[in-house]
Amino acid sequence: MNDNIEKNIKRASLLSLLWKIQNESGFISDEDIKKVSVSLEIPESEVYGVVTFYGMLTRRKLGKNLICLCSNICCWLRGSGDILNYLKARLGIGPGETTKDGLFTLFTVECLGACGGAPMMMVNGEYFENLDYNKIDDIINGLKCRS
Amino acid sequence: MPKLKIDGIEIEAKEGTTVLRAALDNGIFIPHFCWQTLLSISGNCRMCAVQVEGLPKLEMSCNLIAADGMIITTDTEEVRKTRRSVLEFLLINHPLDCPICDQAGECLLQDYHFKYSGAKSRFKEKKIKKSKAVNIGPHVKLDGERCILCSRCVRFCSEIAKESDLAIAERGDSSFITTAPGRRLDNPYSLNTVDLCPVGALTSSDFRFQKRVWFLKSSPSICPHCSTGCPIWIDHADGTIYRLRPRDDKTGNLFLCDEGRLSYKKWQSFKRIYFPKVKIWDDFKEMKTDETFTYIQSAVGGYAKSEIAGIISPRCSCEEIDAARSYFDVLFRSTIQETPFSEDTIIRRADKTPNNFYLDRLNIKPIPDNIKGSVLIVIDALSNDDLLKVTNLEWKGILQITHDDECVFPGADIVLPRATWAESDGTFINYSGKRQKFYKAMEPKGEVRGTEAWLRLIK
Amino acid sequence: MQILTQNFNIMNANRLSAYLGRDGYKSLGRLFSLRPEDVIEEVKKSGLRGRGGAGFPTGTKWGFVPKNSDGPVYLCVNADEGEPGTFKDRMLLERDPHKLIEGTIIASYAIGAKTAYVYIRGEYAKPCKILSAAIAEAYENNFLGKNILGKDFGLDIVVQRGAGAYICGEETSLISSLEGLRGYPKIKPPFPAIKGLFGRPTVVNNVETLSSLPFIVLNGWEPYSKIGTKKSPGTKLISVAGHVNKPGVYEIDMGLSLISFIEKYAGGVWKNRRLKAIIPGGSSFPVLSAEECANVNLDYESMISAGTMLGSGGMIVMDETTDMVACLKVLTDFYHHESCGQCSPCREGSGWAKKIMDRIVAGLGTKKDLDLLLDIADNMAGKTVCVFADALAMPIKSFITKFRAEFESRCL
Repeated sequence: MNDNIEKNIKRASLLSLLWKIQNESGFISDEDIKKVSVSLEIPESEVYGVVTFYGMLTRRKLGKNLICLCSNICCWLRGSGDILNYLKARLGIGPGETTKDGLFTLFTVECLGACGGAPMMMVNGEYFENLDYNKIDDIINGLKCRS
Repeated sequence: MPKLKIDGIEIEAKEGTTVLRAALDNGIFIPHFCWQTLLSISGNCRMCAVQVEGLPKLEMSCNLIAADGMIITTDTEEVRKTRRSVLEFLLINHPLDCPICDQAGECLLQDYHFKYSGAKSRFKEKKIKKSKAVNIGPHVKLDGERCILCSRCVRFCSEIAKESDLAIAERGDSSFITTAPGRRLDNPYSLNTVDLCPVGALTSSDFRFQKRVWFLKSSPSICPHCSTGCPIWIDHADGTIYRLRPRDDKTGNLFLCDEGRLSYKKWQSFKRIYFPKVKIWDDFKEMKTDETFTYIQSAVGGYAKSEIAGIISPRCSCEEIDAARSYFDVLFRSTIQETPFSEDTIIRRADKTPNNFYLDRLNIKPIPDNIKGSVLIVIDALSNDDLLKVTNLEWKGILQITHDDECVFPGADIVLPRATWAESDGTFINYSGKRQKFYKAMEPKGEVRGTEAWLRLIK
Repeated sequence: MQILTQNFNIMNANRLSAYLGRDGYKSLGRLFSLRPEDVIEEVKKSGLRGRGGAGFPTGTKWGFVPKNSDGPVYLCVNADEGEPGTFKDRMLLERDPHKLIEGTIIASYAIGAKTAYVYIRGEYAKPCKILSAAIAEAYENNFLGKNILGKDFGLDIVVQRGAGAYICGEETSLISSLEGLRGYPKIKPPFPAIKGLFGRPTVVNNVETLSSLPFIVLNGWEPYSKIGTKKSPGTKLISVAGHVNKPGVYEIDMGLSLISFIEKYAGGVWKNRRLKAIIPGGSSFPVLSAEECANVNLDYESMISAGTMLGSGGMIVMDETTDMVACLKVLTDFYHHESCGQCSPCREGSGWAKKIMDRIVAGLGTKKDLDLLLDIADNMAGKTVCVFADALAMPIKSFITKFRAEFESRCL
């Protein structure tokens, strides 16, 4: 019984450990998978299966700033299509891509639970609602200045 | 013991059995992909749907515990519709590989489609592309497009082989079977995933493109690779073994180790001997059996039984050993073995011969240090230790009855081609004393004969 | 009646000091004077139903947990709010986290859980921070941990962040994710109440459901049962979005008419446009045409008789300019992206539906494709491990059936 509990706890810590790694190094590498496998006593293949299941975990290094535009129904009803086109024009990249200077990566994501402020996007984990082109300019310029 | 009715047939099931298992045990077939007798229940293929009287929705029989008084119908219109729809879903992204796929002829998707559907495709979109012909391990090839993600392979590696080499990566219809980065499907039981894979997603590299399965004959036998002696099917055609598969004889293992499964190769290598050969002036000359008699006569004839030493091998059947016991007064056992002496708590044993138990029981001892005699007759092969003991002694004649040039030891004067276990009926006794019969799968070619026949001939 | 939103507009309501000043944690006094089975009875009699989407009676769900378990029982708080159109739990987490904690204590006490796991979606970084701070405050002030308020009962709350998978809002998928596995829903039986997290009896409750508990325990079951309708008592948070003037989260008494809600709370359809359609409870439920909206109320039964469901209360309003074909494409894209891929009908069917919708939107669809989509939806619904497939089937069926002419006009 005790063996099982310990095994369960180790296994249950997987997602939190993966978050920790990603928060520190920005992505989860092959090396990380090996280390996690050893320290939590989970087969490497299963760690890999978990990493690739979740949309917020990434296996590759992304840009300095992560822009996630909601493309689901409520935001779409309130003009996220136009917002996406604007972002693509401003940044010069499409969804899934990173700008050449490595500053921005753009993703379209599913409903972020902020439909009341549609259209909206999540930038570096922070919500920006009721977007218009000016707001987007402010956000992007602000991030450019900070880097 | 719950009593239930499946398709009108009264069945008594064991407590806690599922409806699927109860049905299959009683000869009622319910199609399924992801369920497998060795493995945990996954319930993901949705093919084993049945109608339970009193319940509005169809239930998956693989996860339905048989209860007293249950009335199950496996063939209602709704069940049929569900099966057709599951098959349709599985086929929409499935590549039209049948003409080049090894699984053809033993593919559940093919079989079920013909039996339960036959519908034309309604899918007009582009099929999803995934990696094909991936060497996912030393013995197994993966075709990601053919995979129906039943997860049998994943569960087998984790639950039976106890090495979780495989996992499913990604999500949705982008999912695919894979190993961890930099890892391979290399556990000692990897080829069982090929048996378990219902389609041609996991195939054996050894068997790839070798033979269409409908040309194969299956003969029941016992694996001779170690002292476990797993029951097997020898799949063969035209006198050649193409592969071994596990055989369910209700007493033995339901899966094989890779080394045992591939061990058939050493019994039909390109060095296989089909005709007797006699050493004349340091060179072996192949000849027909009747031509050898003069040579055998001069080698063996005229010596008393006490001067003829026989060596019998633990790779020989009980019948061969019995024949040797009546032929020889002086009989020893070879200590032939094969490396690696891989052993585990699953099915493999370090003794890589099938019949040492019988030699133990008969108390046939290894070759003594001071072996002497005029004639040496070796059946099968010698180990290096054995060789040291018999070489450089004043043998007047040395005969070897063996199957392959690799086994012929220096010093043999006359070599007679021995029938392998696949070409004979016989019995092995495994490490626990279990007697297991194996049966002749194919006629020996050339002038190959069984040990008993040779011993009769050279009397 | 303000049960859930009473602290929404109070400054710093997420701080313990503010919460205590507004009857915060007051229900615990009565709670610990009752036996756990009595608490279950109270909640049963109150008629509270799960607010995550299924509407299953909460007290009944708790009752499935075996009494006298020889080991731990777990409560899981479902804060994985991912249903498109739904953003009410986020409000509760940000504005009144202590109410959730209080409700978690009540539920845990009732079922005998000593550890409660909050599974909060990865994207809710800010609510997670606020909740974690509130939990820390609760620990410091003896509302969590050993011997709460000096009583025999102790509770630990563990917060686990999700990582971007809508399916993990399904209760068994949530459990799989907590266990460190891929977020695959589990086959039933066994049911979570018998064998859930780590194989132990587990109850998964939604944030809003739990937040409704302090009122019920503090005031007894009767007052709650008298609000709303007989079969759908209590209040519900409706998060309305889309083509309305005042999108937001509003608390209503169950039974309020849909049109009244749109007019009085959501400010009516925006830009003076006419209503075209409403999805009342999150995208996974059948859409209502404007005509159908006229006769329906915001409660479970009324929605079911109208052929849809109240669901999570994530209301999506569409005006007359809405392209229903493009709208359905947005939804099929979503379900295709979020299908976990475990079982055949959903994994393949969601991809197939998406590809057909792509073709229709591109102008290359035929009328036969519409019937094919309906057939795919039929072949998916009810045939899978979890109801995700039904969640995709319902928009497909309702959109195409109710707006058939519009769809046909886009076909070759």
